[in-house]
Amino acid sequence: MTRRSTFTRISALGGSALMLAALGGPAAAQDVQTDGWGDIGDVTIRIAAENASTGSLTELTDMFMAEYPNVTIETSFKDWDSHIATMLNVADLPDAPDIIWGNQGYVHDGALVEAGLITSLEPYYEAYGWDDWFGPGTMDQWRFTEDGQFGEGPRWGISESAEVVGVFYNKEKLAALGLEVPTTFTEFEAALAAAKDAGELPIKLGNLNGFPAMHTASIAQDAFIDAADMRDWVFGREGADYASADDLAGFTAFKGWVDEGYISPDANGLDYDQAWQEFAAGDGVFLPAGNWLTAGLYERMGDNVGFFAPPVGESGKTVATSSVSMPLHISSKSQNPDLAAAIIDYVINPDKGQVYFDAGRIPAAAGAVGEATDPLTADTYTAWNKVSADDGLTFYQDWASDTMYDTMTAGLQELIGGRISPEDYVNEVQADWADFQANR
Amino acid sequence: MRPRFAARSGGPPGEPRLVGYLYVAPAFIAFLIFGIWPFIQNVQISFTQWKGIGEPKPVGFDNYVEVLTDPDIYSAFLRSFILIFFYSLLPITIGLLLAALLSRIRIRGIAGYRVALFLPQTIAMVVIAIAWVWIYSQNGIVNEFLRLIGLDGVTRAWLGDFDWALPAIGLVGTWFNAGLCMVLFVAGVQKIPADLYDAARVDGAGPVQEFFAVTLPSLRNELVVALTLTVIFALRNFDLIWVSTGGGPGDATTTPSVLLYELGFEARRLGTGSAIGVILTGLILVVAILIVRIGERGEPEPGR
Repeated sequence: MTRRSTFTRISALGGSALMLAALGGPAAAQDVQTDGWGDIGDVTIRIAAENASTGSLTELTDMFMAEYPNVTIETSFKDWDSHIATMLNVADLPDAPDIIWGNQGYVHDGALVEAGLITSLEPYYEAYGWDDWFGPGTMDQWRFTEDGQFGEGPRWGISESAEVVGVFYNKEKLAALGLEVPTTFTEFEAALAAAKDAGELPIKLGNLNGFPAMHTASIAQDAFIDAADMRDWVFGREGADYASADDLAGFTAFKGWVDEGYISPDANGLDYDQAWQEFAAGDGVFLPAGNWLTAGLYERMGDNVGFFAPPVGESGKTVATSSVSMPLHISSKSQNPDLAAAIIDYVINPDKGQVYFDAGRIPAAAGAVGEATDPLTADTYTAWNKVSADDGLTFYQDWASDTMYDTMTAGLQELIGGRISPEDYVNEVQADWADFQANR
Repeated sequence: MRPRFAARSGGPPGEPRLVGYLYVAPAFIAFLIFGIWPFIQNVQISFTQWKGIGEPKPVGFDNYVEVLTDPDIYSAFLRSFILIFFYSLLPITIGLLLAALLSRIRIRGIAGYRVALFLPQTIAMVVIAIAWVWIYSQNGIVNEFLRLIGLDGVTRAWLGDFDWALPAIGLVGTWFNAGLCMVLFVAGVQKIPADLYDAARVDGAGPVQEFFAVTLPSLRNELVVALTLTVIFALRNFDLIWVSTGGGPGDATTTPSVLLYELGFEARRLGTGSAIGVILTGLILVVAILIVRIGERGEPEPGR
């Protein structure tokens, strides 16, 4: 897959910070203060974060404040829905918080960049060497050009932890089927058939809410697609096509699971939370979902639950719906952006890895120090490392347009309900994408 | 030039009408701030392209053209009108039947039944939605009951069924509104003078004739109130649908208010969302005025 050259990328930036940094070279980096925080007098930094960060962030900011007693960090946490709904307006306040949790894609990060409410982090990437912590593909999700092209231009954010969609499995049930953990898609489909023959429900899916099928279907889709192709599509790069043979093969396989009865028959009417709790109580062999369910499932199932990355298809590469968590942004209204960046560096630094593992999360930065404290988190970390090693992150597909979430959730419910065919589905999705790209 | 506010015939002597405005002032000011002013802003936003931050870009009638040329909006409105049957006509029928029954037959512990029937009105809609998601689920009590009476074949996850999700939601609205209608009608029935019923009985009217000749015409005002409240509820209902199905499966339960939320708040196309809001408000106003007009017309009430 061709990618735009460095030249076109930089020339598209206009007067952005990357260009200044690039022109200025090392001199620009020296303009950023990276230490001496004990000597700046009493300063307060305010953070607007999302609930998932509560445990690790509170511990890390406390550690920072203990090191620099003159620095006060005030953090407010909101649940996902409230944070998503208010983030743009909070960033728009005259006294906006210094550090704001954003959300990848056009609706939130795109709007923040367009309105000039957040500042480019390029000078800090250079000053702190953040480049070393993430693969190049991963970092594209923080890029936006100032004219609104996603996936290109300067980096406006950086993230704490990793999210990976894979498959949770019931260890006792898999063992009772006489099967090993499937690593290839062929093995996985054979396991589904074996489970069905043994009278077990192969795949638990509660799709009343619409989004869970995006993750379940991605397990099939990922066995057929190339991760870089999907990222190009998510970023809206020219020529990317969802209605391709690869994607169609993936959704045809997924529809096959529905037709074979491998998936919960009441999927469209079953609530997501109810579904994973029923899985924990022993209904279903496999539960495709993201590692955000780790704590809840481990608490209920203990050592009887495991997790594996999406089984590989013919490419032999691990591809997964995965990304890093909500990006941290620095407000363009911040009086102390350098200090804010220092706090971000402190919080995300791989040497703080253990704090994340202790909170049941996967640190996003490569080379994290520490290890998982329970076997399920260890499984998810193994899966994440597999995906990272193969550069197999596809990101979340609904980032591709402002209405893609609704298009995909409604479309997958229709696909499961037999209202539309896999061809219809990929065409609908591609039509939404093309419409958005044409009018953007 | 002062007769207008001076005094009204039949009222307490010397009491100026003007003071009445003082009484309504707090409510009116609150309505101005939380009702009228947001609506004016809403109309303004509907003529722009705006993500909620930065400068809105004026686009004239583009949002209205976009909304009105989208076939999705018409199927959404069609679903709203189907919901009127479940949210309004059905509860009013049930309410009338209950009122007629409760007014004729002496039932032990009648107050208890009334409270039970009215109870849904006192519960937060979000709680109702979550409870009904359980009730309608594959192993919920609806299906348990069907299995109990041997109808295993028709059990399904009701809210996940493309044909049944909308009626299933509608019946929640029926359950919710029936109590309200009943309370309105029972109160109305109690105001009907007993001599009207005596006269009807002397003329040899049975229970059915009595209902149509006396009870129903006497409840005209209550009917208008019940119809107005429940129809508006049906047209703008959002929380029940959003929490239970989110508009799904597919778009089987997507109403204009769900579209409004998806476009206005999830996709941050505030202009498009506002345009749907203005259209919806206009429609509700027209329907409400029609109901009140039709209610005012017709014959004068008997015997009040």
